[in-house]
Amino acid sequence: MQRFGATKLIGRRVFLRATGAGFAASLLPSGGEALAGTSAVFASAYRDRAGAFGIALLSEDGAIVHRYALPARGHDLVRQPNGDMLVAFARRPGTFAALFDLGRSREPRIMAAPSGRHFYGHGAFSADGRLFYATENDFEAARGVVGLYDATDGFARIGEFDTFGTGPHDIALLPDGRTLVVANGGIETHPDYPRAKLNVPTMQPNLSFVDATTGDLIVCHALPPDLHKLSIRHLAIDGGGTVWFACQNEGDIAEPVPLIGRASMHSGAFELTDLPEHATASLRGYVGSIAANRQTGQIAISSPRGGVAFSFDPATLAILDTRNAPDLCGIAAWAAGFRFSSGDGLFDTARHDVGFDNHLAAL
Amino acid sequence: MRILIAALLLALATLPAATQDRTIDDAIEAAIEEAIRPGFAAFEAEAHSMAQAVATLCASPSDAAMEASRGRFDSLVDAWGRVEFIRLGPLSQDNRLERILFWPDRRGRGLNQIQAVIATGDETALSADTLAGKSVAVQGLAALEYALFGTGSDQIAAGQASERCAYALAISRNVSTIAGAVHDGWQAESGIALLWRNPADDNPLFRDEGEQINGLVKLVGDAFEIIKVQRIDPVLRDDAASMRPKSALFWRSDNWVPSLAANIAGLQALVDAADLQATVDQERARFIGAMNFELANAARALGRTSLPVQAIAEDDEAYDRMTYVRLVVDGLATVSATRLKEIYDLSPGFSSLDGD
Repeated sequence: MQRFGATKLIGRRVFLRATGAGFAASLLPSGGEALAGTSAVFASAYRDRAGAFGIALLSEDGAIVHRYALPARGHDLVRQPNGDMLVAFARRPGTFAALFDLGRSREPRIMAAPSGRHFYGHGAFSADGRLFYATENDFEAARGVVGLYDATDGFARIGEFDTFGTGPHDIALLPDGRTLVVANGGIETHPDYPRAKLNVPTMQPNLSFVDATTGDLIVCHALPPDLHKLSIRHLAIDGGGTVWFACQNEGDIAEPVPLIGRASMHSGAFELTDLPEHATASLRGYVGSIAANRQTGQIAISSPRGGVAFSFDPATLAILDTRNAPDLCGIAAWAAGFRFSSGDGLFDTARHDVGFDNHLAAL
Repeated sequence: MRILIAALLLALATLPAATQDRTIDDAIEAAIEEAIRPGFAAFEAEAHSMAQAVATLCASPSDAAMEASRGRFDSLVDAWGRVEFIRLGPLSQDNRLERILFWPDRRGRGLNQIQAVIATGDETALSADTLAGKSVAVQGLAALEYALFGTGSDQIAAGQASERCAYALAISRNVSTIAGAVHDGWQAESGIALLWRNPADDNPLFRDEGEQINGLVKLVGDAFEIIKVQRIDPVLRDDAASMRPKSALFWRSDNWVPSLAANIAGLQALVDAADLQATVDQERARFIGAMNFELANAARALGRTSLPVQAIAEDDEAYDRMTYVRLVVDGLATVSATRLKEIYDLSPGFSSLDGD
C-alpha cells in the first residue's frame, strides 16, 4: 500500500465559483430543515426536468423530504457506519464526491479526485466508519486503484492501493471487516475520450479480494475466456458473506449469457449462476443494480435496458417477484423485501418529477 | 446548445407538416432495405475493390498504381463512414467493429504495433488468414492508412517495400472478408433483420414496437455522441491555437473531414429511409423535420470544408465552420437522447445510457 501526505478538500470559494449559485444555495445550513430525526431513509442521485442534478432524500413512503443540489450528475451514495456522513459520487468519470452531514452539524463539502485519477462512482466505508475506500482510475497507466480516505480528518486522501484490474466499479467490505471485494469491470477509459470503451476486444474483468489493511491481493477470480466481455460491475453481500456480482455484456446481446454470479472467499467458490432463461433474456445483457436482503436471504437485480427488476431465491434461483417499468434500476433492500426506483421518476408506486440515477441507497 | 434549440424552433415554423401514415414496422423495414443493406453492400464492394487495387500495386508497383490504391482508400473510408454506426447485430459480433477500425487509439498502442509489423516484416501479418488472428489494432483501416500514407509509404510505389505492400494487401483482404461477413449477416433472413422486423416476447432484442424504434433512435443518438466526443472534440478543442490535428482520425490521408461527412451522410440516409416524420402526428413530425434540417446543415458545412485537418488550424473560417458542425452534432445528440425518445414515448434511458 502506498501512503501519502493528506491532500486537502477543494477550497469552498474555488468550488463555488466553478459550480454556480444553485449548488451554493444547497450548501447553506438554512437550505432545509435539520435532517436528524426526520423520516429520510433512502437516498438517490437525480436529474430534474430542468436538467439540474442533485441528491434526493426520501421517506419510507416515497416522499422526497430533502434535496441537495449537485454540480454534475451523481451516481452511488454510501452512508457512514457509526456516523452521519453521506458520500455521493459523481458518475464516472467523475472528479468529485460530495460529502453531506445528515446530522447537519457540518456544511456539505466536495472531495476532489487527485490529479491523474478520477472516481468510478462507488466507494465503501470501513466497518467502524473511520476510513473510506473509493474506486479510482489511474488513467495514464490504465490501472484501477482504491483511494484511501481518512473520514476522521475531513476525508483527507492518505493512500492508495491496486485493485488488481482495469476499470474498477463497485467495491464492498466483507463482514469480516478487513477484506474488500472489488468489481474490476475490465474496461479501459480515459478522460480524453469520455465514456469511450478503449479495449473491448481485449478486456479482462475480474473479481478481486483485497486485504483492506495492507492492500495485498488475497484472491482474484477471472471469467472464462469466452465470457471475457462480461464486465463485472456491481456487488451485493448476503448475510452469509457470499458476494453476488452483476455483469454487463459488452459482446453480442442477441446471445444471452449469465449475468449474475456468486463468490465466496471462504470456500473459494466463484461461479456464474443460471437464472431461468426467460429472466436472463429480459435483462438485455445489462444488470444495473443488485441488492441482497439479509433478513430474507433474497437477491434482487434490475435492468434499465430491459425495464425489469426481479428478486430470486439464491438457493433455487427461482424468480420470486418481477416488476416491469421503463428504465427501472435503483434497488435497496428494505424490511422483508426491496424498494425500486427508475430513471422515469418512479419510487415504488410514487411518481416524482425527476429521473433517478442507477442506485438507490438505504440510509 | 441554446443556439441549436433556437434554430430548431425556427425550422419548426417553416417546415411542412407530415401526416401519420406510416407504422414503426414500415420505418424499420425501410431502414433495413433502403439504407442498411445497401450501405453494407457498398462497403463490401469498396473493400473488394480496395483489395484488388492493392494486389495490382504489389504485383506492379508504380506511382499510378499507388495513386489508384490511395484513391480506393478514400472511397473505402467514405463507404465505411456511412455504415460504421450501425453497431447492431453483425458489426457487434466477433470484434468486427474494432477489427475494421480500432479507434480511438488513445496511447498510440495500435500505431506502435503497426510500425513494429512494418519494421520487422512480421510474416504473420502478411497474409489475411494469419493477420485475422493478430491484435485488432493491426488489422483494419487505421493500419491500412498507415501502410499506404504513413512515413515510408512512398517506397511501395518505387518497388522498395514489398513486405509493406504485402501487409497492406493482407489488411485489405481481411477488411474485405469482414465486410462480407457483416453484409451476409444483414442479408440473412434468420439474423438481425428478422429479429428487428418481428418483435415478440421471446425475441432477445426487440420485445415490442417500443424496443423496435428504440433500436433505431439509440443507434442515431449514439452516433451523434461518438462523432462529437471521439471524432471532433479531441481535435478541435477550445480554439484553433490548441487544435490537435494528429488526434484526428485518418489525418494522414486527409480523410478527417470526408469521414465526418460520410458519417453524416450515412445517418441522413438512414433517417430519410425510415421517414420517421410520417410515423408521428404533425406536431411531432415538425420536430423530426427540424432535426433533419440541422443534419443537412451539418452536411453542407462539412461539404464546404475541403482542407486537410492540419490546414484548418490556420484558417479561421474553416475552424469556425467545424466548430459549427460540432455545435450542431452536440445538439442532435442531446435531442436524440431526450426529445426524440419522448416523441416515441420511450423512457429517456437516464439509467441505461452505458456501462454504469
